[in-house]
Amino acid sequence: MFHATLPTLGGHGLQAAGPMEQFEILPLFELTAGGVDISFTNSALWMVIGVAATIAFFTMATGRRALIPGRLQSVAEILHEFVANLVRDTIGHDGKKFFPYVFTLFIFILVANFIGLIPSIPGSPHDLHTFTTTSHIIVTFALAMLTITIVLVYGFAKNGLKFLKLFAPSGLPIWLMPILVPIEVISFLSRPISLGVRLFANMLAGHIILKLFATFVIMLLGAPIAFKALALFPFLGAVAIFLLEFLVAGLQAYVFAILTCIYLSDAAHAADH
Amino acid sequence: MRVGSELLAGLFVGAILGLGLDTLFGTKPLWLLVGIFLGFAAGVLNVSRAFKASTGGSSENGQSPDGQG
Repeated sequence: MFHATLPTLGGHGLQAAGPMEQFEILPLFELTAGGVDISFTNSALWMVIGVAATIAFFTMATGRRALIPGRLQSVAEILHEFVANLVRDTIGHDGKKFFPYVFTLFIFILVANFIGLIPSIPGSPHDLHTFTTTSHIIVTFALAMLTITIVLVYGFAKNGLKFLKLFAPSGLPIWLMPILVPIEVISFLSRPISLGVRLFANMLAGHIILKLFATFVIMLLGAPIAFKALALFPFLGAVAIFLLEFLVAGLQAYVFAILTCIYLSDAAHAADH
Repeated sequence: MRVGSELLAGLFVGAILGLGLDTLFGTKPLWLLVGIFLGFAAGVLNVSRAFKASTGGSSENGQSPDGQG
């Protein structure tokens, strides 16, 4: 993202990359398996980079295991404590076994969001520009479906058919059942969609706005001399949005993690009420 | 953003389910309308739960549908 190509001040005027170009999926190696295109794309590349960076970070951070933690170890401990508290507060004592899943999910989304905020190396080829994997709905929706699948499997495994009490709260008058049960079912089915769409829409919108501000800077710099100074304003805007995007990147990873915890807690306690 | 996505997701799922039932039974507008109504209700339920979870209750998000007539 944030790779406004420099204006070519030639005969045909200015050229800045369009705001949607940063989301293009470009194959790096062509691969097919049984007629299905499974090419290694730039999206896959940045996921691999994110996971590799995470593994490298935690290997280094937990390597020394000092009693008095160093800087890296402190960061790792803070992240661990943060997610552990989140899981314990939301799910309760059953929550411990979901800690690895929630932690992995949180770190993966956080790193993917932050990688998208790293500016590309100027002049690097388009298919190696930094890429926000979470700005594609198929990625976020796959993560959301994974969460809901775990909720369903765990809910039925733990509660048996009593899991269905989630859709019919006790104390409900019988004549309300035909109306309320479909509403509850639709509400449950809408969870993966709102979960996936929320993360995707936030990342997509943020990066488009950032790119538009950057394009305004380029356009104003190419304008007649009297307007050149105006380029300062969209530049300041781009800086402000960039800072806001840091907040959004962290916040959306947190929201995804806490909603996963809430849904898992529903599954864990479905038979209680 | 949170509220909008919750509301729209409910409506979307309701409409899709209604449309699916319609193509199954060949009753074109009937189930779609029912689905949109129920979907809207589910969206409002989602939103009220989201608010309840964010303001007060810890893990007790919307298990009792009190206040619904």
